Amino acid sequence: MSSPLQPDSLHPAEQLDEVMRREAWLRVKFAHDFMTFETQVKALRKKVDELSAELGARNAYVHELHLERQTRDALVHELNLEREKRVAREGEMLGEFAIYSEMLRAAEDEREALRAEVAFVRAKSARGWRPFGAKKKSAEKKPVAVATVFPAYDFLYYLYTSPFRLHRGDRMVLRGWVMPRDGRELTAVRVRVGDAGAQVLARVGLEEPEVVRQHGAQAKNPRPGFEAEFPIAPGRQWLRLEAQLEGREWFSILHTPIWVLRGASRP
Amino acid sequence: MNDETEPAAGGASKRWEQRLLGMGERSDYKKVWNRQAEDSGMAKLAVAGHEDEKILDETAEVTIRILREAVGIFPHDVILEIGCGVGRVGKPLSRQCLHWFGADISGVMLKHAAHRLRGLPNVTLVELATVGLREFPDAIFDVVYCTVVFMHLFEWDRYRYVQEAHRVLRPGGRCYFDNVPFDTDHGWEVFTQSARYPIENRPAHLSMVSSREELRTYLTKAGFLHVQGRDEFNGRIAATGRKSGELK
Repeated sequence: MSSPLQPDSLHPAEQLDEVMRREAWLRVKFAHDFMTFETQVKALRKKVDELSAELGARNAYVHELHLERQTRDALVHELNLEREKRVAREGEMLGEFAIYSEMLRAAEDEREALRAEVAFVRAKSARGWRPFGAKKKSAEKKPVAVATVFPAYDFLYYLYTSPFRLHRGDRMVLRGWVMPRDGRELTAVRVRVGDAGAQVLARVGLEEPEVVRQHGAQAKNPRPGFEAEFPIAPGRQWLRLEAQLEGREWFSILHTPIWVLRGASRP
Repeated sequence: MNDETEPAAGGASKRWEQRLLGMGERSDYKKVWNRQAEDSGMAKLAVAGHEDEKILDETAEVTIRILREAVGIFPHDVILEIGCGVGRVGKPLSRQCLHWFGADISGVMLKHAAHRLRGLPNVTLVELATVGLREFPDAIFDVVYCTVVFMHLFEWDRYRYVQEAHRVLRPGGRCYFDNVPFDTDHGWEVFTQSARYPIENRPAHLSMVSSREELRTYLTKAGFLHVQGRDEFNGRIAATGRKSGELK
């Protein structure tokens, strides 16, 4: 005898009822599973959003760290460049110190030589001075070329580029303005460098409106500016700045020793 | 229109703005109904007009009788109530079907429902995130009903629920939607009482009536077949329909 619980023992109507009941239960179960799944999906989406936000925040932090590192690297690079410049400058200063020491020694030697010459001249000019021994034929000395020094004149002048600094390089530019106080016509300006007296004519007739405004215009010298560019050799040498008046005589504006070092000129 | 009756431009603008804000408040069903369910007494009053459990049960039996007549209730039915509130109908109805699902947009209301329906094994309460039934899969339910809810919704939201009901009903499933009618004494009383509120102080949950044609149109447009209008003995109007598919 089959069990009354077994489906195939049920009346067809009861079987149909049982099937419908099971089908309904399946729908209920499906609805519950669906809702559970949706809740889990929602929770996962929320978790994903939170993790994305966290990732975004971390990426932003990492990016900030990168930027900080870049800034730091740039700063280190600048400091390294600065250090290199300082090391180079130290080297230059040591070199300049050596040159200044040499200049000082040369100046001291020159002073001693001049003292000796003064003492000799005084002794020679005293009465009864007789040189000991026969006159000796003095050895032939090589004539030293000495540049002519032209007389000074009453000039008003100013130099924008100073010849009194230590110079580097193989060329020099003198820029400035000059006019005689008495208003005579200034026709040329030149620069002479070294004892050999090599000379370079300057460009004259450059506009200097502020100078004219300040010192008053001169009818014969309306544009008192000048500029000269000339080669220079390393070492100590004399620089002479001279002006010609009315196309005739030359007069000295300035003569001064200058010191020139080897190497590229500093801006 | 003369100048004396023409409202000041600034005043009309302000009222319109306030009105817009008011409409927005009504649309925030979750907020409106959570606020009215702060305690169980308030919640029962808000949804049923009574706090007494005995009266709640009696009115629930009336609703079940109407549902039985309108769409039929069978022991194998899987039933969904839209806007179940405190579970007034679900409590007795769950004993007469296979499984009863109560859906409401107010989570606070559902807390009270969970308390009232505790211990019942075939009850599931679901909080809706927004207007619609997207928490439920397609073709699950035998019956979907919505009673004493439409009066609190805007028309577009009423239709949305009808559409969603069509989706979640299995082929051949039945639906029932009711509201207070416009053209009865009670309905007109509800309408005029609501009209007495000044616009700027209009409560968000005020009852809004329906017409028979409105309800039938919703069901027809949503795809239901055999759409019928009903005048219930409790003074409400309803519309019923069946989803296409095999007949039960």
